[in-house]
Amino acid sequence: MDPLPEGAPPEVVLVPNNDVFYRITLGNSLTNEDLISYLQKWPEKYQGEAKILASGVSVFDDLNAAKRKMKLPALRNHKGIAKLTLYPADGVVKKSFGKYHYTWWRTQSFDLSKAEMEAL
Amino acid sequence: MKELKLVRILDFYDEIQLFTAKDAVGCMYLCQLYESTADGSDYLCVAISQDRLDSFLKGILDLREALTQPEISDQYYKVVMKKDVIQAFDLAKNDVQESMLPEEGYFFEPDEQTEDIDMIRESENCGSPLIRLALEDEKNGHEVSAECLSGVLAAYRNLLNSCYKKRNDKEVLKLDVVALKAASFDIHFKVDTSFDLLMDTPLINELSAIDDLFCFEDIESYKSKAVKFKGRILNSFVLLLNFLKENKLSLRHKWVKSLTDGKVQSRYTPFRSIAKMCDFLESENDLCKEIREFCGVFLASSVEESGKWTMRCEKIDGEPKTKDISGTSSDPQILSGVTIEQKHYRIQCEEIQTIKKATMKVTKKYILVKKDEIES
Repeated sequence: MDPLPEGAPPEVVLVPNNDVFYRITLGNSLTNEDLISYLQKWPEKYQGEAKILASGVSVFDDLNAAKRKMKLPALRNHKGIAKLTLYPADGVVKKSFGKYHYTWWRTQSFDLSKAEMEAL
Repeated sequence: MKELKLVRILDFYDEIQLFTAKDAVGCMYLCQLYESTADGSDYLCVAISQDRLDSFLKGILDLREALTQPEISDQYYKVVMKKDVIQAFDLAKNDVQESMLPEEGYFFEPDEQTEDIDMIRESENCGSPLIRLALEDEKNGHEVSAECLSGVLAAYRNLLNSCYKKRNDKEVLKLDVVALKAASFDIHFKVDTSFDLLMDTPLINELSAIDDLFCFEDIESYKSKAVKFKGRILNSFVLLLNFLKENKLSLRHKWVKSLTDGKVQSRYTPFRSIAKMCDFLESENDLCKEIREFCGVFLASSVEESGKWTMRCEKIDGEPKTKDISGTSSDPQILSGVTIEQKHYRIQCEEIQTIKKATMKVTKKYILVKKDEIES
């Protein structure tokens, strides 16, 4: 993982402890590609404070909210939803943008194999 | 091409998926992401009336319907978001591809209360956090005396500024009253500040502190909480409580916490709790005491009557600042032996805040409690 930009993660965050979140995946399993932040993908696209948000990845604390997002055209090519049970060592999350949405700043120690795929 | 201004992020997944925006003349637009590249993000956009937008925000209107059956049937836009700039370009109806549209069944998660939606809309329109104070008398009547109303306004503004100053070491926040509504007398304020990047109000700490102060369960737990706000904040709070108590008013304090979450914070405090808090805080004098420290030379002093003095300050609370301050003394003898204009002193004063009934302005009085001579 690239180093996080200045100000990321923000000061007020939650440290997950056995908390379940859902991440939409490109294929039928969770891969490193699914957890690449937009800032890593397109470092020149974001400026200033927008970099902070783009340095995390989106997760939901509700499965149906994740399913609903897959109706949007930008996520239509995504095929699965991974269930992630996060612990303090996996990073921090911040409630942001909507009822069920969180931004997750993950650590390198997060183990992809711990993710379980949800039936759609 | 027209430039748009982002109003509210409605959906986010790694980047903004859905948002509302307005143009230079206030027309609203609904914009949905369909393609993202390293260069920028492209959104399918339609103009939308407030009624139809409300219907979408209440979870009644399907997003697909909002985009495939816009109110102005042939008017589509391709909106390009590049860094901070949002530009809308005309898009022919025939160029709207199926791949740019959502599937059926995408409904926005509605906010819990319609009243909150209205408050959020009001906040979006003015671009500033909105606060409401609803005053309710015993009969839930639709009137309040002008004196009480102006007193509550002055005291609330003073309280918010005291909380703000504590955290930011500066004042003053400007509050504008934007509406007065009759139903159990309702005052809407706009705070002269903008939402932050996450569309949260930058005054979360101050407004949460006020909610916390208004939360009363019993004397014991309230006492331990009040210690956290010792000094000017409690002093300011008591000024507000006094107006509410004198007029036998209950209070609802509501404020827009976050535009993205559509979150409105609300706390109702009945008159009986207000009376108990007021009596308790007035009995605990020390909790409301704010001690200020001034350094400088005395321009005048008197050991008679109330021990009046005037100091030309060079430092206030440790910060270099030039200002003439006047006050009285807890014991006029503290001033005995003072050398006017020649020697430098460090003094400690108790700050007393009052609201002048004639002007409804908050004034501060200083009572000298300690004096030390210092090197110039």
